[in-house]
Amino acid sequence: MPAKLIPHVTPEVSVCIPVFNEEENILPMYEAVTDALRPMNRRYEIVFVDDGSSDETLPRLKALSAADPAVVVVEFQRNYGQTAAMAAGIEHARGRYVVTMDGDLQNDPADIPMMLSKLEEGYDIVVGWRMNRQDKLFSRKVPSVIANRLIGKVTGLPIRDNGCSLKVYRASIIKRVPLYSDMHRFIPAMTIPMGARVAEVGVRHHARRFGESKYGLSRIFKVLLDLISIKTILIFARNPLGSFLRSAAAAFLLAILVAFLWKPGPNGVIVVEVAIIGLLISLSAFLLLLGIAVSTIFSEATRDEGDLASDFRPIE
Amino acid sequence: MNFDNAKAGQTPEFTVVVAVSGVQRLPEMLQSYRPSIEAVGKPYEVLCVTDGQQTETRDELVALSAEWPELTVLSQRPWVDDDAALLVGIKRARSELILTLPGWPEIDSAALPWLFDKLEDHDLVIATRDMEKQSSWSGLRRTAFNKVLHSLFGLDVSDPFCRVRLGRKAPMEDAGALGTRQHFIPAIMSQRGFDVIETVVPQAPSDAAKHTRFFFKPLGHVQALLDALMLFVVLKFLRRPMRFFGSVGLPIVLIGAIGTAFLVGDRIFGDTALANRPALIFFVMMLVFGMQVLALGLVGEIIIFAHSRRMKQYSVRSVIRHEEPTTEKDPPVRPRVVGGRTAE
Repeated sequence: MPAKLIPHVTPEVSVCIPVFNEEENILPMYEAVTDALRPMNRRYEIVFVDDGSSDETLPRLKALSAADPAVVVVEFQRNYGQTAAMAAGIEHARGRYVVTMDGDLQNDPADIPMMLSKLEEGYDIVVGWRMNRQDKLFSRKVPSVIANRLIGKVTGLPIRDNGCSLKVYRASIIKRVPLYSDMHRFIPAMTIPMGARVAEVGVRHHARRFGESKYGLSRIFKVLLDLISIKTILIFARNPLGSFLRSAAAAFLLAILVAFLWKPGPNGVIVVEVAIIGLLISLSAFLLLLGIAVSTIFSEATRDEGDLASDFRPIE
Repeated sequence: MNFDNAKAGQTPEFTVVVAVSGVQRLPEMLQSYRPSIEAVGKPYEVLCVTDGQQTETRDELVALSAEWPELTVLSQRPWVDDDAALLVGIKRARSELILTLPGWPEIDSAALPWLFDKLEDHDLVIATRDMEKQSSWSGLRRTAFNKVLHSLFGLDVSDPFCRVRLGRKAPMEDAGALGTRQHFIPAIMSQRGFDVIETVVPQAPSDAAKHTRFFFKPLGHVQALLDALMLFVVLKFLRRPMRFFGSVGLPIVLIGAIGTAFLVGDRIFGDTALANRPALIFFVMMLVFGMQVLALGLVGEIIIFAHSRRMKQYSVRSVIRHEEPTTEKDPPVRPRVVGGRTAE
């Protein structure tokens, strides 16, 4: 009996790989992912996002896609950066589970089955942790350790390796995470307001075989500023008006303290005192008004987006 | 009176948009474009957006549209400026190709079909006038604006002031939506990854005569520079406001905090009175100002976060997905690919 034809079969697993000038890595990457996924007997697709490559990356991806229907290619107008490429890959992914990884072969696709099994234990996100990281010590490893500790402290989600791109998500979770700017490093933290369950597993890591790293030390300052934003967003998502109200109240209390504790200067001069009280009260009013305005905008924009607790279903 | 004579039954392949106010002899100008527009040999529409205040011109345009069925006259009220009117025209266009023309002669209209030949797979073609005669001040102004565009946006165009452009509707509309001057549309499109090219066309004789004189308008030049700087900040930080406000506000907060802490420490440990130290006002003011700047950045981040699902930060050129019917039993066949070519 011939097998039943199913047009446009929806894959179960989508592997999203952003690539930028990785012509030499394309074929080995495709083969490694295919070798890892085929034995699982699950429907899969590999979504390559070409982030404006100027070398032979795109023609090679097109050739792959023509030969294998499991390969999907998303071509960008220009180079938009890794977060945008990852966001595009996730948006075009159709699978129930979404795997993200770098296109430089430093992650090992052979870890994907193990991570999927972990996910099916009841987690929403499984994060890879590079056990034997094959990178330079001072320019990559040391800043990474400091950044990860800082991110863990600030976000309250102590993940050892936020920089590892090899992660597995339930599509229902990752498709709700807003990805913009350089926020791909903070995806696990961004799921905190949704109440997602996160697991961390050790994964293999290889030294780069072809091409050059696209990262430098300059990203550290950007990560710090992003961290401030993330912290605010995490606080704000829990209690939209509260954080601004608390800051406004603190400024107002400080103004009252100054008014009561300040001793007038010689000849009863109170100019400095009045000026400082005025500044503090103006700051308090500014923060209060800002909080009211923004919480209105925020609640309007996120009206239809509940947290996971409100629509969480039993693990499939 | 209804000025909108849109011919709903026709599907134009390109739309000519002329957005202008207060220009004398506009109907004659449009008529002079007509033979060249028709020489392109494709169905078209012409949208002329004016303020409708000049009764005589308006009546002439309406009369012209009666005998030129492709012409639609739109009256915009309230009139803001040419740039806003241009966006109205682009939005109202029914075709995917937009040709923008000024209400006065800039190029030899016979060259209009060249722009269509040049467009091919590009997203925008800018006409560049072959200015053989121009005053040195005009040349300096053009060079200065080129430098600004190059340093801020990485765009090299020889004639940024020429309003004759042919491009695709969606990216032009998207670029115009930022509400800036139309001279910056190529820069915005280029920044967003669209393919922008320029082509040299003959300058209109009357335009050449105009450029032999130069009118120094200091306020206009300053405004243009400020617009360029604003656009640079918007394009760079629109989706990451904290990067901008944080890099301004954080140092101010730090200076204010350190200065205030020093003065308060001096009061506690050095027993120096604070009441007659104006420096305290200065540092507290810095602290408050820096916190306000930071708060604005955080508010920006919150707004971006809240709207991020609706704001795409990338533009996709194509998605290649081969939807082949497959069987339940057979997983996708694994091909062998060598050097970008597929082999069995």
